[in-house]
Amino acid sequence: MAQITQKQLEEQIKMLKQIKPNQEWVSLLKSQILAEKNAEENAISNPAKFAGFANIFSSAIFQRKLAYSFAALLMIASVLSFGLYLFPAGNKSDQTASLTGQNALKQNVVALNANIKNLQTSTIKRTAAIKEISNSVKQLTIDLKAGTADPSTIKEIANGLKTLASVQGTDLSANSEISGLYEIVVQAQIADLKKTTLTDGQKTILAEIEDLYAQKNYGAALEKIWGLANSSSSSSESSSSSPSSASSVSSSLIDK
Amino acid sequence: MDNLNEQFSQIYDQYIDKIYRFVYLKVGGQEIAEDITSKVFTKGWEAFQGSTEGIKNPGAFLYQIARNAVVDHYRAKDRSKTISVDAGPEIADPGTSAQDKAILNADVGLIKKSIQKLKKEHQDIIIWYYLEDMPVAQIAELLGKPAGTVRVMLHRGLNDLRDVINS
Repeated sequence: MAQITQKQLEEQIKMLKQIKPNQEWVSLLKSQILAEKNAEENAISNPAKFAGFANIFSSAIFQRKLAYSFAALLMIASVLSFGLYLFPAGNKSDQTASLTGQNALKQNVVALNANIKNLQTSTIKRTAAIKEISNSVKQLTIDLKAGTADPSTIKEIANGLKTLASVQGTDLSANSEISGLYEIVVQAQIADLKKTTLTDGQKTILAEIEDLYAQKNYGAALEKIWGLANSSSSSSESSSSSPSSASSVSSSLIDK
Repeated sequence: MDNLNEQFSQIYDQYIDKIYRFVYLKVGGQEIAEDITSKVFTKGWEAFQGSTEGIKNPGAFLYQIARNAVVDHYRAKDRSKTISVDAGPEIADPGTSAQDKAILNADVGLIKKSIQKLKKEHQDIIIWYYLEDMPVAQIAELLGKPAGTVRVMLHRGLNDLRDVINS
């Protein structure tokens, strides 16, 4: 078989330009995407008319987005609940948020909960609510960056992000606000892991996590962190003389 | 508000073919490419509406969403461990369009399949450079790498592609 030359290869690559989408699908998609905004505008002026649109637009994409937004809000709400500490009681490196910071966070959550109700009761305000959610998440990120994050707060956010990822099923890096939170969480989790005794295998995984963090691939980094916690948890359950490293990693990263 | 609608409509018209083609060449199937492309523009529209300062480079923004969406697709595919229609390399998907079948029957079908075997960044660079006529500087900005690095990667990608085809 004749070997292809560079010139032939380039010509054949350029032939791929003939690949185009189906034009009917293109038109339909455009109308679906841009008609969403028009449907919301009509609904505000004519609620009865909106009922019909609500049925039409109950596609999987919109349901996923609703679940995504709601999960994001639940995540934010859970920040204020004083859950388990990230580290066992013996670790004294925790810092608690100041009262001022907590009040600001509480106010954010009150605003967010109001938006949750809006989201639940009416899809008309979905887009506006999502915008408010993004703003609140942005503010939360700023608050977290301004001070040292409480490890329990980081843990609550990490659990929330895990729920969010399973609901959304997509990379969240396109959402710059959520991406900012990911960055903070992953950074904190890496720092925590470095303080923990790790097996050789776990150290290798940590190195991979750090690479992903450096590439700003926070979603993948967090997934590996969860995987590390899960595998540590399994090994500590199955082993009667569990190594201190496995149990310390699992207790630091996952809910009990 | 109508202005936003009109602006995004223009962006959509300008990039729908490009994004679809980009995704299609990376995932290899019409149905999946349509699904991913619709997600890209839905996300793009949401971001466009929510942006207070406007999106300065909508093309770069959409390509970034597309790259991430393709990664998510393969990640989900690995998790589900099911064999998709697209996994059958030699037989055309019954849902494939006439255009797909024509392409699969031509030499270009070999190129398409071969591109999918390249490293992801090499795929991206080759698609952008040869199919979207994107200059190296713009590709470098998209990837966050120096232009020199992109040129080297383009050269290596082509070599790898030629090796795949010739093997």
